[in-house]
Amino acid sequence: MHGASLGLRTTDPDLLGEVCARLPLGWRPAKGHLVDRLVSVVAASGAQRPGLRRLHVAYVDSRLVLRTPSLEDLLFDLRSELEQTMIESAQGRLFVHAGAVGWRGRAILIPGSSHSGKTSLVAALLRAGATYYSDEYAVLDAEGRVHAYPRPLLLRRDGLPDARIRPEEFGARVARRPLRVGLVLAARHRERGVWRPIRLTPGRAVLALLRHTPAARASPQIALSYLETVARQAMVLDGQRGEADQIVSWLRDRDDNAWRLERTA
Amino acid sequence: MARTEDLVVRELPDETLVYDVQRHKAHCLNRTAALVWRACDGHTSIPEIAARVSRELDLPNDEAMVQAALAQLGKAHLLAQGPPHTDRSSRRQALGRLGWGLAAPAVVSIIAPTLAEAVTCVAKADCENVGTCSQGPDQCCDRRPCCEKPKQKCVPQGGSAGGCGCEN
Repeated sequence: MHGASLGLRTTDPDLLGEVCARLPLGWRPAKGHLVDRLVSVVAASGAQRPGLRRLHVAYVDSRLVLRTPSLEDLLFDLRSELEQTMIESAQGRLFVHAGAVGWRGRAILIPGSSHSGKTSLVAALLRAGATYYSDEYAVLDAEGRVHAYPRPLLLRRDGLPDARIRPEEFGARVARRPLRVGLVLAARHRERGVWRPIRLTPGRAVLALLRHTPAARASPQIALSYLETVARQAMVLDGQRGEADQIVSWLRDRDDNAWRLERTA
Repeated sequence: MARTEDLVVRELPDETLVYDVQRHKAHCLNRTAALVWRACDGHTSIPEIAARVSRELDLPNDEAMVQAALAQLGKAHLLAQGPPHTDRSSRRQALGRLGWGLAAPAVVSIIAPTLAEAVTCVAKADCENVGTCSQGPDQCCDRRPCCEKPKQKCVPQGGSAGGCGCEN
C-alpha cells in the first residue's frame, strides 16, 4: 500500500482477520515474501493466574509499540500504529495531515492539526460540488499531485459521538485520479474570523506544509523536495477564517486561478 | 562560521530552506539572511560581508544589518560558533533606521512534528465533553490520544459521574 509492504503475524490465527480489518486504506495482499516492516501481535494465552497480569502486546519490527491487558484496547490502538507504520514506510508518496478536495480541475489542500476544522471545511466544499480526496491525509507524489485517501469523513459533534459519513452522503464523488495541487489553504478557524488571506512565499509555504508532515523527521530530504514542488506550483494562503461557508463563497467568487489577494507575506 | 553538519539545504529562487537533522527544526532564510549565512566562512569579516550584501542586493552598505542577520542565524543554531555579541536594542534601532523593509534579514523557523503528533488526537476539553453523550462514556470515549499529552488517551473515567477524561 502506497509503496510500502507490511508483514503481519499473530500468535492466534483467528486474530489475523481482526488485524487485517485495521489496515490503512488501499492495502492489498503482496505477491513477494520480502516486507519493509513486520508487525507482530502476541495475544496473551493460558489461564488467568492470581498475581499475574496477562498482557497482549504488539511490535513493529523489534520495537514494542503496544502493551495492554485488554485485547479490545490493543486492536483499537493497532489501527493508528499500522497507519503510522505505513506513513513512515511509504515509497514515492508523502503524507501531509490535510484535507484534500478537487475543485475546478485543481486540488485544494487544507493542512491542519486535529480540531482545526479540516473536516468541516472539506464537508462544506463537497456540498458545493468538490470531489473528495481525503479529510485526513493528502497523499502527495513527486510531481506535486494529490492521490485519494478516501476514508469516510470523521465529523465531530458537540456532546455526541463522532460520526463517520461517506462523501456520497454530501452528494460528492470520490476522486479516482491524482490531481495537481493548485491551492493550499493554511487557514486557522476562529469564531467570527474574517478571511483576509496572505500569500506565502514558496519557502514559507514549505514550512506551513512541513509542520503537518508526519514523515518530516524520518525523511526530511524527501519531504522538502515534494513540498517544494507543491509550493512552486500552487498558491499557498495563510490567514484566519470564520465558518466554512465563508471559504466556499470566497472560492465561488473566483475563477480557476484568479484568487485575489490583499496582502503578500 | 556557518554550520554545515547535519543540515539538509535546499535553494529556492529567493529563499533557502534548511532542515536541522539534530534538532528537527526547519528554517526559511530570506535572500539577505541566506547571503550572510553563505558568507560566513570563518575568514570574511563583517564589513566585507556587509559590502558583499550591499553589492548583490543593491542596498546601502551597513554592518548593523549583518549583525542582525548573524543574531538570527545564531539563534537558529545555523552558525558553528555564536555570533559576535551586540546589544539587541541597538540592532533593532539600526534596522529601523535603515528602513530595510522586505530586504531585512529574516529567519523563520518551525519544529517538525513527531509521527505520533500526526495521529488524530482529541483536545482535553473535547474529550471531557464527549462523555456527556446520550450513550454514556463507555460508548463515547473513543480512546484517541489527547492532543495536550499524546501519551494519554481519552478513556472512560471511574466514579458515579462517569464521563471521559485524558488518562494514561
